[in-house]
Amino acid sequence: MRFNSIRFKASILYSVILAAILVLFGSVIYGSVYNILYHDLDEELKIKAEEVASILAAYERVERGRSHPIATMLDLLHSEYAAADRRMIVDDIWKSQLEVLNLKNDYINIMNARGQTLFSSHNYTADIARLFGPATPSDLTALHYRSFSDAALRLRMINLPVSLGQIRLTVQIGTSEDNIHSVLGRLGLFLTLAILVFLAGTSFVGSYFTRESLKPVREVVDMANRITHKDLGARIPEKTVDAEMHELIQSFNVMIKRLETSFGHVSEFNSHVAHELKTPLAVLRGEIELALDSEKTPAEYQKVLSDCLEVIDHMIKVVKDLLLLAKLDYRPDIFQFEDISLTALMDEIAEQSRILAEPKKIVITFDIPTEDIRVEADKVHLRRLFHNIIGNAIKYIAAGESVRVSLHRQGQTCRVVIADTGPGISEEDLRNIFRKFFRVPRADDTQESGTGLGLNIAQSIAKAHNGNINVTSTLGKGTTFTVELPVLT
Amino acid sequence: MRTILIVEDEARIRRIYRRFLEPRGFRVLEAGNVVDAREQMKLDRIDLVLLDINIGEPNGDTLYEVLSCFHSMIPVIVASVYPVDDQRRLLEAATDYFDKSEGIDVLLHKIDRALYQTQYKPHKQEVKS
Repeated sequence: MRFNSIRFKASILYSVILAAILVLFGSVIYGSVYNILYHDLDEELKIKAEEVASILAAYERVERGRSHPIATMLDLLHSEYAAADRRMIVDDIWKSQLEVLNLKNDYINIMNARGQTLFSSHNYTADIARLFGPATPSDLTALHYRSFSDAALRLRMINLPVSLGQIRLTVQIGTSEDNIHSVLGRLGLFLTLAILVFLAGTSFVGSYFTRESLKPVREVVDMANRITHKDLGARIPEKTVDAEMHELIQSFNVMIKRLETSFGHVSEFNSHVAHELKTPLAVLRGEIELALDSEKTPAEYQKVLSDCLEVIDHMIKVVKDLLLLAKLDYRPDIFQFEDISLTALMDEIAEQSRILAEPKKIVITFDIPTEDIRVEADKVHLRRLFHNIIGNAIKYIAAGESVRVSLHRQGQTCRVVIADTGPGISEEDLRNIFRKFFRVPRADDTQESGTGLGLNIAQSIAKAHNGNINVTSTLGKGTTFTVELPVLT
Repeated sequence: MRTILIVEDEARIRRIYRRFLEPRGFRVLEAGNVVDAREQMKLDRIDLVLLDINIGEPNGDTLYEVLSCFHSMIPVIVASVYPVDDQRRLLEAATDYFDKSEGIDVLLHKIDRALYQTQYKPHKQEVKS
């Protein structure tokens, strides 16, 4: 499993969330048990202290007049030999009561109203006294509990002020917290282990489920890896998978389909290019072979060479147009758009077109309004657009026929209409007219000099200007090209 | 005299082939498209067809279908700018294939061989249409 994989991240996220929940849950349990244990211990201490107090009171009543009744009681409690006291019977009763209270291991300190120790148990050593600390004013008046610890001992102490008639005393009983800590320690260990085991288990299960739910991703990746340019017909099966995956697979398949179409275009285009360039090469080769086939006069050789030059010029034109087309379609940065006057540009084009139409005796008229129509355009390329269309018209129509170019504005769009009175284009050819290397077949079978890319180039330029070119034609009547461009406001 | 029909949309190539073939004793007929080719075949006895595939609609392969159905004894040499292997994939059972960039010598050799073969094998295998 890689660290930057979704599976790893998901597993980590689940584990962290789960760990947080478990730790919180464990803390709550631990805290509750802690509180319960201390509460119970405090209750127990209170019962003991109250019992001691009541025993003290009873003993006081019974033994009034004896010098140190409470000391005797504590002696009884902590000394095996105290039973041998001369007041054995009475003492035995107290001792048994004290034993019921289980005070043998507790530290008992009884103070007078001034906080001086009156009596303490035998095990209440100087160390314990230091741990308990000197009595504070609140020790003599209020019930409270305190915890003490040093390296060896952890004690819980109750401080209970009592009144025995006129006498005010404070009973302090300290008892070991070891039991509580042993229980808490075991609980902590148990909780920690339980959390760790649970986390390990769930992260394993989580990782398994993540892997399972991401399995379709793996399949998509494998399938995508298998698809090469030779194999673009393949699709990732859209079987029953989760909605998200289904969406992903669909997008993928759509992308492959687009790629397939693009590759198809590229391959078709390459085949066309090969054809367009190999045909003139074959002509060149044929002409040269023919020239070498038999002895010729210098004039004949010159004719061959000039024919070859013509073919080479045509090839150069094809290559140039191809390069231009590639640039127009894939390098939008070659366009340098600026605010230009289309009216002025059309005037320029009119001038140049008349020169072109002149030798073929074609009448070309321009109907350009005086209104200054402005467009955001690259002048050089826009000029080429119109030249290609007008040039085509001049090329395809016979002498004496006419071309009429008009410019008018309609709302936010301006239209340049180039209408000729030529032979027209059949419906079928019209459909192919913007296909690369397509040339409308000519009835007279004469070889046209075009590259079959002119209208393609015009269309690409129009699209780069957010415009469009439409063409309509009637056989025998003529063809009309309409160039639409957005007007600059 | 053997008659060769050149079906080819590129007039310059037709002219070049004619100027090679006529001095070598062939009679040459030209057709710029399939319709013309059909007309020529109705009018004349043809000994060999030099057929370009890519000649616009209807395309050369349409004419090839017609040839292999109705004139299966006439040898057909497919001639185009595509590599010979591609041509063979496109039209399986032509007598021979010629890549126009190969040079006239190769074409002349292929024409001779095709005519020689037909002489001794007057009936070409029927081709599935």
